[in-house]
Amino acid sequence: MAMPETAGKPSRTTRKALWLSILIGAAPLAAAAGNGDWTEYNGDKAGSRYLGGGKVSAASVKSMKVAWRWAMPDNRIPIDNPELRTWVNQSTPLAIDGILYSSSPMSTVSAIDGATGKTLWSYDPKAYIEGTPPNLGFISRGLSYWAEGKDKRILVGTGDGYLIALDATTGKPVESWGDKGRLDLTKGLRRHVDRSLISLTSPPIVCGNTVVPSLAVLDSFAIGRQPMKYHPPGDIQAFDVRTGKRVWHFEQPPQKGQQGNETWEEDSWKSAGGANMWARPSCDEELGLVYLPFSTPTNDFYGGHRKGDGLFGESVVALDAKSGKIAWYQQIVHHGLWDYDLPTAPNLMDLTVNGKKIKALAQVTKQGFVFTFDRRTGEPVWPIEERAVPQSTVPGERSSPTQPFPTVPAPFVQQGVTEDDLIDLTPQLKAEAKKILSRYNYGPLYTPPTLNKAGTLQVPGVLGGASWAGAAFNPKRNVLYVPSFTIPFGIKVKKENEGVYAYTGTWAGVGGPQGLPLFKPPFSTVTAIDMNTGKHLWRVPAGKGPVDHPAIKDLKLERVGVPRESFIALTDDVLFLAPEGTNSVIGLSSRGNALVTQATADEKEPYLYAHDVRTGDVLGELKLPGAAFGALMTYRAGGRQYVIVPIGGAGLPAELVAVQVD
Amino acid sequence: MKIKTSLFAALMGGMASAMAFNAVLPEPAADAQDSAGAAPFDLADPARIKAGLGRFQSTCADYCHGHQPALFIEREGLEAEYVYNTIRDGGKGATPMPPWGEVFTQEEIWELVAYIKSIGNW
Repeated sequence: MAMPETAGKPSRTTRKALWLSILIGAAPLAAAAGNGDWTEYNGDKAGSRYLGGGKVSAASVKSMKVAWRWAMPDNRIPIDNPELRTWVNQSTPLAIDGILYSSSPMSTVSAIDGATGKTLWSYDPKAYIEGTPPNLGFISRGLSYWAEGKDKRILVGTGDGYLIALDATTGKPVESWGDKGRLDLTKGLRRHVDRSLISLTSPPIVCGNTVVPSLAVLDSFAIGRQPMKYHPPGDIQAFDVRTGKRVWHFEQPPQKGQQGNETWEEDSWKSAGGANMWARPSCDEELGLVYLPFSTPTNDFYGGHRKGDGLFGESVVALDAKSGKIAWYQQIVHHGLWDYDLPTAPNLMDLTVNGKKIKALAQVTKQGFVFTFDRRTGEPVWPIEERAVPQSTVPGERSSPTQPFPTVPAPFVQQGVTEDDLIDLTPQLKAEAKKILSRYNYGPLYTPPTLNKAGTLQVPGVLGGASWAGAAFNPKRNVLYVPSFTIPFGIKVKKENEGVYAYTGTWAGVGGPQGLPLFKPPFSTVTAIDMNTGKHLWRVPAGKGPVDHPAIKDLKLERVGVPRESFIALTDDVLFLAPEGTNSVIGLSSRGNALVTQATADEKEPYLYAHDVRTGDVLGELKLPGAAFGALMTYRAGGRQYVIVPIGGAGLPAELVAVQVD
Repeated sequence: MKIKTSLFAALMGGMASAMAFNAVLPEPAADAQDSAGAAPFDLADPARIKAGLGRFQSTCADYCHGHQPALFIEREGLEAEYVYNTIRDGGKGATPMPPWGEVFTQEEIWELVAYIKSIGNW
């Protein structure tokens, strides 16, 4: 790990990179040139989810159509082996030179002709041999691409904890890389890590010549057994993308003598786990910095055994990509008790704020904030205030007296709970909602989990707010588009009579009266924010939502938003948005380490919507063969532009649907 | 674990049956403080089922069990007392399901049992 540096002060390496970037001039962060490729999971290394150029227009999206559908080659495996049920299909492809590269939920990698949907090759790493991965089971959100001359590689993180390099042309492992093309990420950590407790769900990022994998580790839920004292730590290992050799190791929590170690009281850094990075990082190759979004330490809802702020839990940490040394960090949540993991890659953007040019980073969060920093130094772009928050009443817990609140931009979603927030579309609904609310403790944002009643009504809930669906950014207009939603969660802490923790958290999604949501519409939104000023430009519902519900049908509401998250991809004139499909979390895996789910075949709103980027108005819509479960992407091939929508999984065939949009 | 890789004719045939789903449930509540006893009303009473449905939708459905709960539709082999105890005491170990015994009356929990029974085969 890095030598101690002062937060907010750039390292020597960073300053050197900064000068270098000034001398050579800034290259565009995003794929603004618009050659039609989508080379990164998030569109580019800046996390923009944006593809400029092309012919997509308000007119063209009125006649969107499904061009082809492609079924994952390993769909038969969970059918033949029901104990290997996949989670919903969250796999989003890359597009390079007209070829799509896609993973499957079970980590099979395929190359597909982007114009026709014909499979060119597939590689099955057999990530299912040892059973189901932790938390949500089989998920692979995508791949990474790296090229140097004729050497073109696809990198895949697998459900069973390997990072694999494949030849992008043949689909064969790169034999010279790691151990015959593989790296075992259970190895090299400072304590033994059981393979059943880790999984690579997000694709790694290649920053310079360093590949930095994300790593999901067993959360404190979903295991059907007492949590362990030694959960896997949140360490980051980085490797040379050419050779597969490890180049640095960032220890999380920081060990004795390392910066941040003092924020773990009573030697809790020795045993604490989690605080890992399951989301994908961002990278600024000019500055040579990789930006890591970290999660909550275990267990998610009780921290009496880990007193202190707990760095670098729920922090954005900028590391020198070559050395792993800390350039700066900012903690977004102190001593997390809400599972407010940083859920997505920070958006990197070059802003002009009050006439000053700023290389900035914006982190959208589950709790509904946009935290904006100078990405060279970590200094806030707008003031961030430490404000007093409610305190925990759970014995042994010591919640943080304050939490950071950005003053600009304004939050993009309801935060906290008051009776005035309850659904009031009819007096009957309001009365029923009040009865439901009475089961919970509630208050402002950061009201801690509680022991009594049905626990604390947490808003935003553990899913967000913003979520792993992230946010899109147009680098020409400096506008950020943030999808968000509200599913409140009841968080109830319970006393444990056995095991290693005095208390653990339980949770349940909270609905409202008669099957409607508990709070006023909109139930989900997308918000456009001018990042030069921090002002909201517009905010519209994401999808129609339950406007035809018998209790509110007579109100003839047009759009109230689907009470789920939404996935987006951005072009110059059109923001594509697809509400997430529905599924039920219905049990535990046979391995006892993951939740398992069933997707719904008969979706109410399996639509792709095209919104005007300037107004939020709906320009076009298309009914899909299934609702989206993964991030959208867009690319051009064979003279056409397409949007890819991942559908299915979790008991349905996992597919990619290519929609022609120009 | 042995993995079967034989082709399956119905590969793209649509939704896999919820009945084929073999999730593992939490262990029965072995240390339940109090016996649930017998239901204080007829579990087939439509008014009780309707009341249970409403409660299920607001507390159990969103994100967790779903509004069309595949775990319980056509479910076989459940026992009323086990369902009651699980709702009252929550999941065992670190399963996320909270205990509802402090929130709902016994009758309200039994109404949830009535609803779950009404969509199952037990």
